[in-house]
Amino acid sequence: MREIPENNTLLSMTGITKIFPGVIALKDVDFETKYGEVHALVGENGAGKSTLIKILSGLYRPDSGDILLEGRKVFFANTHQSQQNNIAVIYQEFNLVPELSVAENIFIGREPKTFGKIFINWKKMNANAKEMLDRLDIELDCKRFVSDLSVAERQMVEIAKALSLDAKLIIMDEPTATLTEKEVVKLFEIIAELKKQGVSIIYISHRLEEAFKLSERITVLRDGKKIGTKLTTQTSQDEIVSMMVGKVVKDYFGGSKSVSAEREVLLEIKNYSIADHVYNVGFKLHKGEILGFAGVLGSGIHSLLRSIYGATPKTKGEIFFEGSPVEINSTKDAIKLGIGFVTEDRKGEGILYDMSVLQNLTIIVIKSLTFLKGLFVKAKKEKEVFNSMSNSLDIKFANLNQRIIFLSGGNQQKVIIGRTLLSNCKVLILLEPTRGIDVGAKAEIHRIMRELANKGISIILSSSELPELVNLTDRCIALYKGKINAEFTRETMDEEKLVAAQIGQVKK
Amino acid sequence: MDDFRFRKVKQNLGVFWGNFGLPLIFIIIVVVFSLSNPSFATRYNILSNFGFAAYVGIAAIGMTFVIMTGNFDISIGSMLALVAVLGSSFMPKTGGVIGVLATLAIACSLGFINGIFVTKLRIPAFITTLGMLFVFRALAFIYTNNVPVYISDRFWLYIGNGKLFGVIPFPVLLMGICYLAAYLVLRKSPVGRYIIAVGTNARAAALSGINVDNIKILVFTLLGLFVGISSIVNSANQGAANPGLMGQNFEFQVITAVVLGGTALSGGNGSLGGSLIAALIVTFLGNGMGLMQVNSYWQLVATGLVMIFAVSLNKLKFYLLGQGEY
Repeated sequence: MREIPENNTLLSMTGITKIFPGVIALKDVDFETKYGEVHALVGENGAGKSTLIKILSGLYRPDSGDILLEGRKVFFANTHQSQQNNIAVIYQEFNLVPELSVAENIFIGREPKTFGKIFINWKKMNANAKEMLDRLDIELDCKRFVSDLSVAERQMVEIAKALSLDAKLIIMDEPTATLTEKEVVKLFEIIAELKKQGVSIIYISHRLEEAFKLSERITVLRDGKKIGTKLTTQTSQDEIVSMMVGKVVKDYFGGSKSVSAEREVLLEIKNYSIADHVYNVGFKLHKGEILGFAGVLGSGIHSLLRSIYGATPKTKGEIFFEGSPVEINSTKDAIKLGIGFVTEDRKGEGILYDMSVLQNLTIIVIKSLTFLKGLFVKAKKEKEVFNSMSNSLDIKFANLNQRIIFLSGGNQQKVIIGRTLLSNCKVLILLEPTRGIDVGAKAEIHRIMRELANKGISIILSSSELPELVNLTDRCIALYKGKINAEFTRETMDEEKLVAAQIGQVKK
Repeated sequence: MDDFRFRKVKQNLGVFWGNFGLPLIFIIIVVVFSLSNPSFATRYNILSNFGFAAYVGIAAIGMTFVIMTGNFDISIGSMLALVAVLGSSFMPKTGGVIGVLATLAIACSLGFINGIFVTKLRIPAFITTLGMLFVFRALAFIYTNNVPVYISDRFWLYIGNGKLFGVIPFPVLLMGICYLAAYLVLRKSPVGRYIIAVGTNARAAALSGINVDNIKILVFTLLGLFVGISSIVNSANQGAANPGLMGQNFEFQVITAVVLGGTALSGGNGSLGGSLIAALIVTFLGNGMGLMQVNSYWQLVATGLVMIFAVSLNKLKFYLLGQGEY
């Protein structure tokens, strides 16, 4: 157990500012932790949490501000210097070597040696590793390979490694995002053990109840500014949420109305199959309807919807658009017909990161904004089209030539939805449109969807967030292992039934 | 030192370096060679150097497009030779303008073939163009029995050796026109947008209704066209199309120019202006070293080091801008 100095403050950051071209990621932020304290850091995406952590871990250098560690002024030029100052970060993606054992990973680069430092002293290394794990009450065989471990076990190895590096401050970034409930309980026990040993923890999580369970204090960031730090015992979840959001999010999902089946059918899919993914699926989509799709991994929803958009081939099946049979062999065909598609993988296949906000939005219609038979772009016309779309979706950006990667996730998503809408689609397919974006932007996207449906655009929504489906859709189809397992109308659907249908059961 | 001010200075340096770094290097090279060798700084030598730069510079346009889409082409040296021997051999029958156009059509089709292999047969660009490097060169040998084809057509010769107003080499004008046209395509036309989009994120481009394969085939074909123009300029310069000697290390010089110009080998947005200045740098460097009687092998050593240096220059810009994280 280490000596704890009088004033009890381990880390104090004052006046931290970090500016990226066009964006102030952090503005004059103060933050401190005490020895043996769990300090929760919360805020929506884009609030500045990750920037603050990256500054602490030495990945970013602040533009101004001081960091004091145990009263000393420190400056981290790189991650190595941060580690040397006994700060450890446990990221969502782990930094372990899968081909090595638990003990090797814990002591990587610092293996105890024998025979004049030629060979690794395996016996000693395994014993030391076991001691580290014991200190945290973790039962894990040191000789197992990391590639064989579960996510939770890998996380424990990371924590043990941090401890073996004599970490005084451990930063945990969304540690429970991929854990089961049982594993979360174990993690909390480990955190309690770390606290007892005087280690401070900065705990970042989207799950507020965890912050309340674990932490002594909660600091809220919003738009790169510190909104406040509260003692956990003297605040409530409601207060923290309102600090995070800044405005009261009213009417979360917007008013909804049921669409009767008498409306004309816009799109009909019959006997649709995709090799190994989808088997004989058929459904109808009415005009102005929001049709939901629920399903877990392997349900085939994404394959089905991608295929309807022409992005992947089908094995068999027919598509009727506005009553007549159509062939869709490419995304170009789909766009021409009036089908739009927004991917679930915004980074991987949504944004064009080297291009500006303007170019990202107009890419889909750029061919029609031209003169001299499509040879040159009409710059003025392009800007007009951009402005009207960005106004109607309320996209926030510094200037339209700014690169899209400098926008927040929610605004990037709006650009991609806007891009799709520019093609004048009648059917809009949305895969996980609110994944990884903050509460405010989420509500806006829900509002946009409802408005579009009211204008007569038909929407297919695939979402793993069941409240979204229950509150937003007019009908919902549950897919299980590539087949339709159940279909619900607005009146008959609830979360419980959707959960059951997703995993192959049918509830009455 | 105030850390904040330090960062500001660094960022300004980064912006300066991004905009003026290459021209600065070019000026330094010209000044250094002028001071060390009196025959370098003559009007004649400088102007002809601009003319010679067209050889690398024009092909670098096409290579910029190809590299932007995340591919590259190492067959262009052999392509240059094959195009020249084919074109110059049937030139006497067809004559001037038609002959030149037919030669460019051949060049386009060679690039087109590369594009088809890379996209439709999904063969990596490195393998495809490495193979074609041998195929094109060998075909040039077979077609000519390794005998150089002498060029007598006056129009063809003018393209490489003509002087406007008796002063400015015609290739300089040609290069200017090519760069202007390429700039208009890349920055002002929808096709240019598609090329950038495919380079920055091919999957996103595909979901936006862009036929990614067609764009890739197009840029390989355009590279063929520009290599064709370089081929005519180069063979006219030499007065003959030599199947063995033409285009040796050409791919290497062109790729060096494009990378030095600031286009990342991993694809994405590129810089035509950068490629142009870098082509000038590569040419002037070669000429300067030649005049100083540097052995040609040492010249290759220098060019190789410039290539490696080029990448670190770009890294320097990102370091100064504090954008290493991206």
